[in-house]
Amino acid sequence: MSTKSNTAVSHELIYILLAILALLSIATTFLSISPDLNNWFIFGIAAIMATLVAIQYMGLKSESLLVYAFFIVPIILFAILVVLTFLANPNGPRIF
Amino acid sequence: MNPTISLPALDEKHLFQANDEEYSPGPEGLTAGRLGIWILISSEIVIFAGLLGSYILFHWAHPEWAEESRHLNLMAGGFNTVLLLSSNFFMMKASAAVDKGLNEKVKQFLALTLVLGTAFLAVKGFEYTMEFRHGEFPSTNNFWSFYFLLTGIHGLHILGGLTAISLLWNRARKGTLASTQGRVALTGLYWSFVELVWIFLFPMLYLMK
Repeated sequence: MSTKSNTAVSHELIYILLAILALLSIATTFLSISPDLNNWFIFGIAAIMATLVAIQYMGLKSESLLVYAFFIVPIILFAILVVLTFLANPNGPRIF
Repeated sequence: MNPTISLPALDEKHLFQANDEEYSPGPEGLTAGRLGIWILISSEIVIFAGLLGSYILFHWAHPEWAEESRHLNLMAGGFNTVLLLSSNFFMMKASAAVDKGLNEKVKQFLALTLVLGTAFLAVKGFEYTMEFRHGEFPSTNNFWSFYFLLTGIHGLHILGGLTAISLLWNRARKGTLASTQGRVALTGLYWSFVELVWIFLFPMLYLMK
């Protein structure tokens, strides 16, 4: 089987996986679990979906190192933002 | 007397028939176009990360937002997720069809991408209409400000992507896509990013408790 036909098959498989994960995410909201657990679950699913799209559809796994270099700055900014968000959480440690 | 600079003559053919193959690929076959789209995406990540981070912070500070989000139409949001996943799937199929030189398939897949992307905007328009009827406006409170801002910016990205896809579809329809076929993959890359943003927006706005 050629590489191109493998790619075509994987697109369909990824699409089905994404659809199942999206439905799973919606189904979670109907479960009687704590809000924290619900939020961890839905963001966990979103992270898996985003990884699938980035690696399979956007071809990040076979991308040049130069592309990764361009992502360093926004990823560092994003990490700082996430850390500050956690620290500024009124229920968590305060920094101001 | 003014000094004159003589430039090499550029005819119309060379001006308008430029494509990815005419540029020397960079390291590991990275073309200028592909690198450009990645730079655009990395700058978009900064914008969306800032907005999404701010939303999560406010959501923590205001637990009552979970109640506000129950006023959103979960069915419409879920349906829109499926529409965008399907639209991007067909965009990927169009990109694969370009590689195989199947112009008729490219045309069909691009048309499906367009229809599903337009349907996404139509459903979002329906949601906005229902929310306005229920008295929910960007000025109602911070939750609705964030909701309209985030979905509005995302909607504009969808509109930009649909414009690019419709131009490609028009070229495919006329049979003149061959000179610019590399742009299908580049547009697919952008369209996947738009889908990726929605993958985070949907649970944040509709499902977060």
